[in-house]
Amino acid sequence: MIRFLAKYRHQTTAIIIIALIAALTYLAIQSKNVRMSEYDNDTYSGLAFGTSVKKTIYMDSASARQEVSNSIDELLKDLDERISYRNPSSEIASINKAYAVDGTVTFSPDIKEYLSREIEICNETEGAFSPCILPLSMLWGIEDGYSKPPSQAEIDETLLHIDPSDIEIVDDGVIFHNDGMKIDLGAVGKGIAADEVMDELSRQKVPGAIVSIGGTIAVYGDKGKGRPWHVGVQDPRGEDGKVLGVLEVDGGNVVSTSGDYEKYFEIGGKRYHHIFDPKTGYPADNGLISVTICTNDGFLSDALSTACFVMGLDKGLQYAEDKGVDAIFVTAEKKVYITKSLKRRFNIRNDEYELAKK
Amino acid sequence: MSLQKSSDYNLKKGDLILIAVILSITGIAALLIMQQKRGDQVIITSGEAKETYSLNESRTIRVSCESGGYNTVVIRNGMVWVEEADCKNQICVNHKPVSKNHESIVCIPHKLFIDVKSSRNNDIDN
Repeated sequence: MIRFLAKYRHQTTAIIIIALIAALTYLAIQSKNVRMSEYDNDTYSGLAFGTSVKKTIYMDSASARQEVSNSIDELLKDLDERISYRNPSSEIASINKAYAVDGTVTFSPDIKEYLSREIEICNETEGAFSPCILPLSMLWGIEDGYSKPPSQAEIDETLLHIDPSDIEIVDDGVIFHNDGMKIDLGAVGKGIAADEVMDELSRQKVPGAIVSIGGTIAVYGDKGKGRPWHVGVQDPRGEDGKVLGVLEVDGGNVVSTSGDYEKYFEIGGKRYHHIFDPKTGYPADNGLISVTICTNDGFLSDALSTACFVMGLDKGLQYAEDKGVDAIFVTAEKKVYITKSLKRRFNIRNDEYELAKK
Repeated sequence: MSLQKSSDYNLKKGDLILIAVILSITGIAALLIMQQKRGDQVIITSGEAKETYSLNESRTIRVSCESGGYNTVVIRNGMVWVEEADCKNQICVNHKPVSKNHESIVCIPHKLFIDVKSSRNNDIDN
């Protein structure tokens, strides 16, 4: 053997060098893609908040990933029970059932805070966003599967009970100055959930995660590569899962989308969707088909996607710029308008759409 | 002359060894890739029941859900989709076929989840 090696020492050296180079290359590729930089990850699908929830958690320990997923499930279940108007034992449901007109109603501090923030956004948007639109959405019943518009008389009657200026926030609670009012956190619920999910991820010291709650996406931390995350924005007129474009997002942001394609019915080619204009009592009808908002505050992200959708392109885009959030507006003509902040961070990946400028 | 011949012979043997080494490296790489591909999975969860299938073996699966409905799931050409279902919103049927890592299809009314674990990386994270 030694004689063999001595005889072919040049060849042997060459082979050893080649083998070493191959081994090092293999290790380098491995560490780049899998080990050193990107954490191991798992995806968990489930239902919560009356919608589908998908969590991809980047964390090296498999048992820790599962634990984080379970604690998020738990958190979402508790939050839904606390803030859903559909849960008869929630504070909101009991207020909606009965309250004394002009009397003071007390709320838990966090629920009162949510309501105050909703009223603030309502004022900023001149009523395009409303904290008390529930009687109108219940009349239309689109989320419950109704497929016929209510009569004008019914709409007119309902409009009398959805005026946000009838709600007054006072030191020790909230006063309703009208009867038949109902509040709900539907337009901000998923955003609140996204905020709480991010708090939980931080408590559990998760390096990185992306959690979709219906159309609201919490983007947290880092996968391990130190690069931004890529969030696909749904094509509002395409198959479910088909993207309009891709948004680059840093960890710590929440991406929310409101569109006319989520829940709707059609009569004679006219689409009636679930996002109402509180002034007309009808689904917002201003040429927008979807609005996506990205900012580091889930509540704001969720509320603004609804508010801007109702405000329309001109006012909505201006409002988004004023609030300093990233926004993507899509019109029925398949034109896409973005805030200045997104110039380098949003790429259309669908031939049917084109970027437009105002 | 004889020295020359011997040197020729040496070179040939060295070449052979070199070729053998390169071939075995290629073979190992091919095996690794095949193994990775064989690991491409479709995980179907319906209520409490969970089944795992290969993404690279064509088949049609009829999934019965706890509430009595069904979804017909098709795996073909390395992709998976819902061909037919009797759910009320048909969102799962209207979902595009999926094949990349972390992609999924959900049928909320039937509590059905189709998740893909694949060596085909997805450049979209959500």
